[in-house]
Amino acid sequence: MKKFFSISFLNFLETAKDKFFFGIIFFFIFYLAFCIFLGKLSVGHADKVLRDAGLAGIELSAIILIVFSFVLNFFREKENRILEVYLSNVSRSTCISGKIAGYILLSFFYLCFSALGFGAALWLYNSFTKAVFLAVYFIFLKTAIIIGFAALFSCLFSSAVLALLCTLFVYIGSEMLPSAVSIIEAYGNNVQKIFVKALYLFLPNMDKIDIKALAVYGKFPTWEQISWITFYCLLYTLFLWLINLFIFRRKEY
Amino acid sequence: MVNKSIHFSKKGILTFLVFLACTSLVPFSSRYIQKFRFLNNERILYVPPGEYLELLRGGFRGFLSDMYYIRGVLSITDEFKTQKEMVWWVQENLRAAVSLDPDLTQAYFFGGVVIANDKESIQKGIEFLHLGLRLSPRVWEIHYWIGFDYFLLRDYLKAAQYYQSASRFSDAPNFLKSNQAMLYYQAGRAQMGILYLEGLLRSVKDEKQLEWIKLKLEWLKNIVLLEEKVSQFKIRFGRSPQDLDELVSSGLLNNIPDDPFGKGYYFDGKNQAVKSAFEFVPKKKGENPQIEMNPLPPESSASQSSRSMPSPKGEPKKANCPNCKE
Repeated sequence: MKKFFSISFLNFLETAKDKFFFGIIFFFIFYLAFCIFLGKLSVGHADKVLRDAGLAGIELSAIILIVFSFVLNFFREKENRILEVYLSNVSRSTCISGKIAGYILLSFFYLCFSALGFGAALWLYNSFTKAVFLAVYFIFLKTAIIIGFAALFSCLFSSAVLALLCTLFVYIGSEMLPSAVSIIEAYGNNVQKIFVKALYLFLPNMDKIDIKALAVYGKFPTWEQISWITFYCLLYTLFLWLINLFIFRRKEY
Repeated sequence: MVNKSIHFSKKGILTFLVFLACTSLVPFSSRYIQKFRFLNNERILYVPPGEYLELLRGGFRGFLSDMYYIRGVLSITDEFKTQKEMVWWVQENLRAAVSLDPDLTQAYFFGGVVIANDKESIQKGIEFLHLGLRLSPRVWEIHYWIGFDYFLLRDYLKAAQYYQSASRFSDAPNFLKSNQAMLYYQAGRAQMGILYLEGLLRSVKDEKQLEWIKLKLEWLKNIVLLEEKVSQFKIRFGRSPQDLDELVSSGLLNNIPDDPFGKGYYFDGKNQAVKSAFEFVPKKKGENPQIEMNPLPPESSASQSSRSMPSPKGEPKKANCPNCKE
C-alpha cells in the first residue's frame, strides 16, 4: 500500500510541476476573463452565460490536461526507461494503479483550483450558485473515467499519438452517442439499432453524468440521481482499472 | 579598466537587417492582399437547423445555445441590406438558441418584441413568440409579449386575450389582471371590460387590488352610461350631441361623472364614441405604428416616455401599460 501511495504522489507531483500543467492553469485564467466578457455581451442572460461558459471551459481544460499529461508522461517514462526502474521496485499492478490514482488526484486538484477561481468570478459578478460546485464534481467523475481510458490506450498501443487520438475520440464519441442513438432509432435497421444500443450501454454515458444544463439555472438533481451517477462512475472506473491491470501485467516494457 | 569595444559580426548585422525588413514588409503586404478581389467579404447568413444542432451539441448544450443567443442579440445592431433581413437573421439565431435551451426566456423577448418595429416585423415577432409558447408554455412573459405585440398592432381584443392568459400564471404581476379592461375599452367593448372586472372582483382578495379594480370598474361604467345617454340623445333629437355638456343641458343627465383616470370624459364626434381624455395620437401616413398614449392616471402620467416597450422581465414601462400604477 505504501508503494501504491508513493507511485501516486510521485506521478501527481511530477505532473503538477510540469510546464503543461501551468500552461493549462494560465489558459484557464485567461478563459475566465473571456467568460466574463461573454457574460457582458449576453444581455438578459449574463449569469447563465457566465456559468455555462465557465463550466464548459473547466470540463474541456480538465479533459485536455489529464489526457495529454497521462499519455505523454506514460510514453516518456517508457522511452526514458523510468518505467523499468519503477517495475524493478514495485509490482505491475501497484504501478498502474498508482499511476491512475495519481492522475485522479491531479484532476481533483485542478478541478478544486478551477472551481474556486470560477466560484470567485461568479461571486464577484453576483452570479454564484452552489449548483456549479456540484457540476464540477460531476466533471471530476467524467475525468476519472477518461483517465481510465487514457491508461487503457497507453497500455494497449505503442504509439503515443494513437493513444491520444483514441482517448479523445472515446470522449467525443461518448458525448455524441445519444445523438447517434436517436439518428439510428429514426433511420437505422434492426441490426444497427442493436449495435448502437449495445455500444451505448458499454461506453460511458457522458450525457447522463453531465448536469451542467441543470446547474447553470441553479437547479440540483435529486439525491437518488447524484448517488446513482456516482455509483455508476465508480463502477466504470473500477471496470477500466481491472482491464488496465489485466493488460499491464501481460505487456512487456 | 579593460577597454571593450562592441563588435557586430557580419552575420548578425545581416540577420538584424532581414528582421527589420520582415517587420516592415509584413504589415505592408498584409494591407496589400486585403485589397484582392478573390477574398469574399460577403456575409454568409446561415444557421443550422435546431435538429442538427441538437445532434451535435454533445454535453455542451447550454454553451452552444449561449453562442447563438449572443450572436442573435448582437446582430440587432449590425448593418443589413434590409430590415426584413435583420429580423430574419436575428430570429434564426435566437431560434437555434431556444431549440437547444428553451429556458432562454430573454431570447423570446429579443426575437419577438425588440426587433418588432413595423407591421411586418411585429407579425414575425408574434410567430416567433408562438414558438416560445410551444417550447416554454409555463412562462407568463411570452403570453404577455404576444399581447404586447397585438397591442402594437392595435388588435386590442387579441391583446386582452393574451394578457388574460398571462395573468392566469401565479407568478404574473397583478397589473396584468386589471389591465385588460383598458384594452376592451380601446377595442370599443367597454361592456366586456365591465363583465371581466366584475368577475375579477369576486376572485381577488388583496385590498389594494380590489380598490384599483373598483376604480377601473367605475371608470368603465361611466363610459357605458355616457354612451347610453348619447344614444338616447340621438333618438330624441335626431343628431349627435356637440359635447357631453349637451346631455346635461338636455336633461338626460344631472352632471357628467368625474373621470377617475383621465382628464375627464369627452364625446369624440368623429368616432361617435365617449372617451377619456387620454388617447392614441395618430401618426402621419407611412410612419411606424408607434404608440404615443397616455393611458395612466393623471398623477403618474408625468413619468411617461413616448416609446412603448415592455422591459425584458415583463414589467412594462409605464408608457405602454394601461393603468400600471399597481
